[in-house]
Amino acid sequence: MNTAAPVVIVGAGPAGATAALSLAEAGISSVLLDDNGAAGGQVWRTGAADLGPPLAYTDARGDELRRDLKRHGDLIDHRTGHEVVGLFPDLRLWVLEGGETVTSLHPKAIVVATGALEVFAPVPGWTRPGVYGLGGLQALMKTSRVVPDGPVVLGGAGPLLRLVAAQLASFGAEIAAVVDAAPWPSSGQVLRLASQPGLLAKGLAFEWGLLRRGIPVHRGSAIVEVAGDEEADSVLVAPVDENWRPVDGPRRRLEARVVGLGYGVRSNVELTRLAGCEHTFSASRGGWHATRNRDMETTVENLFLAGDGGGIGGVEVALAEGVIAAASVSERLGQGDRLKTKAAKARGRMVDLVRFQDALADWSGVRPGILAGSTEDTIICRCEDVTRGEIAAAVAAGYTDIGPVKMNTRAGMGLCQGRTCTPALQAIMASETGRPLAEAGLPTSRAPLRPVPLKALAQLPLDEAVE
Amino acid sequence: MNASQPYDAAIIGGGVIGCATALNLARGGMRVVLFESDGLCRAASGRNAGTLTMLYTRATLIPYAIRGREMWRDAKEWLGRDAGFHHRHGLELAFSEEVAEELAVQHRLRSEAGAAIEMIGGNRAREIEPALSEDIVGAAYSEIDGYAKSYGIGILFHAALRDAGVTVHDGTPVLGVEPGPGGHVVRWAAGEAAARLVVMTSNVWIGKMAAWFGVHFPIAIRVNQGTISERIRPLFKSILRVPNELSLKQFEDGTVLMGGGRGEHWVEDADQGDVQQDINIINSKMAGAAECAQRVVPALREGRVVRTWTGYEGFTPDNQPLIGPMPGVEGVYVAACLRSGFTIGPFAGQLLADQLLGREPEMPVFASEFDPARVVGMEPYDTEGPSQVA
Ligand SMILES: Cc1cc2nc3c(=O)[nH]c(=O)nc-3n(C[C@H](O)[C@H](O)[C@H](O)COP(=O)(O)OP(=O)(O)OC[C@H]3O[C@@H](n4cnc5c(N)ncnc54)[C@H](O)[C@@H]3O)c2cc1C
Ligand SMILES: Cc1cc2nc3c(=O)[nH]c(=O)nc-3n(C[C@H](O)[C@H](O)[C@H](O)COP(=O)(O)OP(=O)(O)OC[C@H]3O[C@@H](n4cnc5c(N)ncnc54)[C@H](O)[C@@H]3O)c2cc1C
Repeated sequence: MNTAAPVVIVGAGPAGATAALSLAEAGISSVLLDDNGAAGGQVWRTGAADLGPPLAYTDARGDELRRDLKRHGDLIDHRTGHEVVGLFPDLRLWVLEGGETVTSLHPKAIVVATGALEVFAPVPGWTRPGVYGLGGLQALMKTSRVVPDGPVVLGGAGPLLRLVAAQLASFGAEIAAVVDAAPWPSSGQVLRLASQPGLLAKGLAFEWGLLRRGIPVHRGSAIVEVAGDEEADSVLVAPVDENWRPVDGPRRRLEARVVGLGYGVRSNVELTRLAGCEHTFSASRGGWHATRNRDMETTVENLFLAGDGGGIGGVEVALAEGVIAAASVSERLGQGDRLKTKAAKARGRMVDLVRFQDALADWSGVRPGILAGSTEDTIICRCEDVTRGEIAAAVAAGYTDIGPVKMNTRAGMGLCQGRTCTPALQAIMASETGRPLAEAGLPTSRAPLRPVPLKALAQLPLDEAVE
Repeated sequence: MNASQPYDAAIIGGGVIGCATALNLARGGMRVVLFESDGLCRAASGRNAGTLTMLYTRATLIPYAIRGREMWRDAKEWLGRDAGFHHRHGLELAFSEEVAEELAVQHRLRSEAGAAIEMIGGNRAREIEPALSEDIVGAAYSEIDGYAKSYGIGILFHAALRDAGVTVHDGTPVLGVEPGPGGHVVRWAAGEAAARLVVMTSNVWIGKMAAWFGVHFPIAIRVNQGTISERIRPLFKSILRVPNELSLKQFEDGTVLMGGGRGEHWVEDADQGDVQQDINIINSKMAGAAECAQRVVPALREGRVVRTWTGYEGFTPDNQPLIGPMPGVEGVYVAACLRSGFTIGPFAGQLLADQLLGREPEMPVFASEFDPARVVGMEPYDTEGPSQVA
């Protein structure tokens, strides 16, 4: 194993894999780490071979990417099932292998390409069996073609909502309704979305897939409760205001055995936080993300960031940023500017893509109203069973920043380390303090990001750790 | 109430000692204001391991720790809320006869000070705590040990202080204290308040505050650390410790807390923690804690670590607290750098309040060995010296 590779790339989605492939093109070897069994990331996630019929609305680029990685196996050391659980300002990494052993790497340059996380809005009953994240439902289809039984109601916003609905429907799932917090896009928004005709056409295809099957879409509405004895058996749908806060108005109860929830995606900032990068909040990019210069370098030297992890941009942006990051790394390592032209082209493509993304966020980017749409007793942090009431009590006791609230309530301190509840926690704090969402702050992240066996930690090379 | 009317007392520093002092002064009839830079009990008082122990408390402080532990047990009575107290047995463990002998010597002093600590052999230790490793040859045993919930204490104090009528200015770093009509003027960014008495309960920040009065306290700042596991099936009940390395306990929810870790970690300035704390030492202490924990309870091998965090403790040159008047300044008092400060904190606050209210404290509080004046001019605590890990 080549542990001395000068470049480590974290995440084998479109951004990370493209960075590795571009570097290989320039003759530079890299280690590509990803926690999944195969490359592709979220968008091109795949399972074992012979899954049967392809998933609707997917393209072949994922398979191409996996073929290319294999072809460049001499230069790209792609390690599946490797999760980075530590990244420190001196570019040292901790890598958890198969959930069992931890090793330490110390490359010259790192490209973080860890993509996005789904945004959940806790509502009463959201922890019942039968409730899934949209991405979770999609991942089941992508990796094993599992399609849920019984009436399905999907709620949330953004492209993923209708994509997952259309994909499930194409596999014969019984979609009872889609509940979309966003209204129809305005004509101005449609005009701006049309700046990328290909992407807009994709979106319209999802929409058409629903319409054709007669699946009702309730717009400007949200699932505000999941009811059931133990398991989910129905949802309550209510209208929301322009901030997506549930408001008075006609409510309807819909039968649902399976409920999919998802309010879009946000950058996964765990590693960049840990490394000490500067972060910024931008509503049009899915909230918090690390800042970078035009070469994709963060405020930590030799730490580059590409793809959705640096602000939500979607697949096409991720691909372009992967190229740019690779070009910057190549130059930084003194390996020449062979990727310069390619990077310049990628930069050109990005201008329009970013405009599209802005329009998309303007229409369907998550609004805090629904994230804080919980009641007093709603569990917000499901790892530690912390209710909204407990969070409100902490705010009332003078803890108005996210760190102290976490410390006092244990919200976000459990197994998932806040991956699920952080956006809701921030929105609830903003709502309780009356401050803008951005001022609720961003939690610190700490190594290990994922639970690590004591015996593995104990084996970490400590010689290098103590002066 | 007249806003410009001076307070009877201003407390600066809202850790467990400051909160308890403010609460008791207010209940004793004073008009009290409490200042805290951050949130109440957000520093050491909310990050500590919550152990209420005799085994690691300095002998001079044992009588205070016994009372402090009782106060956490009876928190409903004085705090009005349950503080998650649990009675547990305590065991300090020796992996060699040599260490067992050292423990015997150290604990003799504690026993003389009133702690019921007994030296036992390895087998007896395993009878008390069956999960213990076969490699343990002896232990110091205290029937009296336990823990209280350390996180979330600030919320409890906040409610109690409000009920007692204390004005709480949290998120308010005090910038200075100057002489003023009727006593002192406490100044912060957005205002100032007059107070007859000022009590500084700012732990590691006490050096910075003493400088306001031109007094130099040599304070060393140690970074202590906690590491927590995921929920694990119930493995052990006692509070375990390994001298100079680790404290170990399993909470009812199954999580295991590892306090400390091998090696010492010091910073110069607690306000520069982000840059002065050394991530390599933090990582190494976490790894060391994991290693030691499974040496003590082998079944922990399969458990997984979720998180590690740090907090500050102030060390005076002689490792005794600073409790008493600020040297040369009338009406300004100090209570800081108290070892086992979570355990003793509530009781320290009560004693200090009684003293300032002119009542007879239950135990000496302005004692000569605690007198802040003694450390002026002393060499700082030897951070290179033998370890004092809790
Ligand atoms: C649940 C979900 C489903 C999505 N589905 C689609 C879709 O179907 N179509 C679409 O166009 N867009 C989808 N998106 C949006 C998606 O984020 C982008 O389109 C695209 O995948 C971004 O590419 P990327 O390379 O930046 O990140 P990703 O594709 O997310 O790739 C990041 C990779 O890094 C890995 N990783 C993360 N952290 C670590 C770590 N610490 N150690 C090791 N590996 C790590 C991840 O497992 C992942 O494989 C989805 C997003 C989410 C969150
Ligand atoms: C990791 C760790 C584990 C520990 N484990 C245990 C244990 O198991 N058992 C035990 O008994 N003890 C333990 N301790 C020690 C214990 O936590 C402390 O002794 C105790 O909390 C000290 O309380 P305090 O009120 O003196 O100080 P602190 O809690 O440090 O409070 C001081 C406060 O002063 C405030 N302040 C400072 N400057 C200003 C200013 N200018 N204006 C306003 N406010 C200011 C600070 O913000 C801070 O909140 C541990 C400590 C740590 C760090």
